[in-house]
Amino acid sequence: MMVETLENEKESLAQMMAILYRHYGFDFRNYAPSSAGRRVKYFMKTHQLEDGVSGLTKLLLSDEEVFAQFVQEFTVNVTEMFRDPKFFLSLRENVLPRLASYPLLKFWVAGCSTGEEVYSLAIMLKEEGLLDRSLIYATDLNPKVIHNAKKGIFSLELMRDYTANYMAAGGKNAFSDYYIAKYGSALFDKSLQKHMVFSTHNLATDGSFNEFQMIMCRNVLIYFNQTLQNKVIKLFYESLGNFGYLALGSRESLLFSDHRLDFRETDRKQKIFKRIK
Amino acid sequence: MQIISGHDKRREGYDLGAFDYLKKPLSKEELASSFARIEDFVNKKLKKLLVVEDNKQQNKAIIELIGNGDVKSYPAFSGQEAHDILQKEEFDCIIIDLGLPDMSGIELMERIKNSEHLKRIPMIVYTGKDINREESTKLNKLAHTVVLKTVDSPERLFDETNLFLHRVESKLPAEKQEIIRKLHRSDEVLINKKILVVDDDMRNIFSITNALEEEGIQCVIAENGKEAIKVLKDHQDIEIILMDIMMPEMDGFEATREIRKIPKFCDIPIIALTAKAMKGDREKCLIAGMSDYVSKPVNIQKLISLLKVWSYQ
Ligand SMILES: C[S@@+](CC[C@H](N)C(=O)[O-])C[C@H]1O[C@@H](n2cnc3c(N)ncnc32)[C@H](O)[C@@H]1O
Repeated sequence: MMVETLENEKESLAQMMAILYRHYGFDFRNYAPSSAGRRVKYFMKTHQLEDGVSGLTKLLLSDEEVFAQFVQEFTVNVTEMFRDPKFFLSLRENVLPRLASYPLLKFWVAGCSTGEEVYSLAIMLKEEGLLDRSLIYATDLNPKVIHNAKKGIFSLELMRDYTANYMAAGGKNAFSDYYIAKYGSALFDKSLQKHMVFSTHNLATDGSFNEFQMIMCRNVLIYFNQTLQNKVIKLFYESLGNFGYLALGSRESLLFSDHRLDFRETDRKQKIFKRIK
Repeated sequence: MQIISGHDKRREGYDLGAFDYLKKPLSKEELASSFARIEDFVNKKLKKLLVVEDNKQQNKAIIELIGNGDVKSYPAFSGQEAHDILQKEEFDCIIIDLGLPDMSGIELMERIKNSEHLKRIPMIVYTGKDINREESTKLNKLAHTVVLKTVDSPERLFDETNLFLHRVESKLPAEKQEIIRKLHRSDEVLINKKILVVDDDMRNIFSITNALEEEGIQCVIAENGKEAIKVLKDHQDIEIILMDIMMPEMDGFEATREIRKIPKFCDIPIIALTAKAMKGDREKCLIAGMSDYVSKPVNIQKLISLLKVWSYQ
């Protein structure tokens, strides 16, 4: 009995995603079912919706505001500055020195959420003397987080933790050099923003838009099923220059990608790969 | 047996990936072609590399870095020397330093690009000079890639050079491809039209301008919205604009709004180049004042049809 209702639920969830895709063009059809289910349930609970998935589907179709809210909450936006400091340290030591031979550097941070990772990368490029010839393209499917990312304002409370991360990532200056504290917020230096291009971009549906020396897409693929992971890695492969680097999150891999043999591991533990073919 | 084609010297498409074939189950034809490839591989001529660098020691160092079994490297210490040797030997790749005693590396590259039989040889710039953005754009159009001398640069120079020496080219010789293209060139509406291509993606600029020039279209390029507006001022005779959306400095939406304010261009066709697939994104293009859109990666045939439509306006 139990199993059957679970199956039913999965089915109606898949149906809802298909309908939403047709109606709004947002493609959540290939998100990993277990976590997608969890997040939909959570949404229904916090918004006190009691008519099950079919009720939710109707509501989302009829009310764009609720749908925007849903996108916001359905896609997990957790992020931090210098998240996984060891990753950033490896970037500094193993990747950036090798990128120094390019006269112009393009980076793509895909699924950048509210931008903490983007500012972290810019700070590191500055310290390695590369920022002046770098452009960082930062994208996410959610317009709301992109809007926030552009501002470069983060909560001051968090700066303590971020300072620790920054130092563990091999930071060369005082972290506070990069922001000014005002009204409980940390406003990041405008000179960093000059090198950033923000835009919405949906990895499930949109195509390649430039050629990059490095693509960072961390903690995004975990929400996708294998088919979509494969498709997205293909998009990254096509968007990388010949010897470009790809960085994934700590729990992600190239395992489900047809292109896995076209990459070599630069740092196995930190999930940094180099395109070799 | 007529499987193995003669070793036409011009045939550039040797496929060193032949061994990949053996991993998969093979059909009879595949097996035959696989043997043909191995045959090609064995009989293949040595790859030839020209290193143009006036510093004798550095020239030698580069040759030692790349030189191995199937690569024969030739040094040249001046632009003229390089030019002369290029007339005699057939090269697969050239490495060029920017500062030469008798001419600039750029000048040498321009000469090579202007020569019908040399222009397809891949060129790699290897330089210790600081390069600003403008120079970098210029170099991008001439060289296949630019490697700045740094502590770690030999590794990249090695990778890039090997890639070009052993690249797998499209199966048809270039001349044949050109003939086929020309056969397809349909009617003359597009000939001598002047088009502005605005994109920060060099790959796109290359492929679009190459294909459009084949059609007899004149292309002017800009790398972002701001540059586009400047270029329009100098080229009042531009008739159509292809506009990327996501660009630094000024994005495609803003640039379109600015262009629409210029009386001369208030209704010039502006076609968006967009990586976006969603209906909403396309509507945004139209709201910003664009006339139409094509999705990236650009399908050239489609683009040409679209240009025809818009040039009848
Ligand atoms: C957990 S955050 C990761 C943020 C950051 N990369 C990090 O590692 O700290 C996941 C982000 O992926 C975005 N995302 C989810 N699906 C996406 C898609 N199809 N295309 C683009 N971004 C997507 C979400 O909006 C969210 O901001």
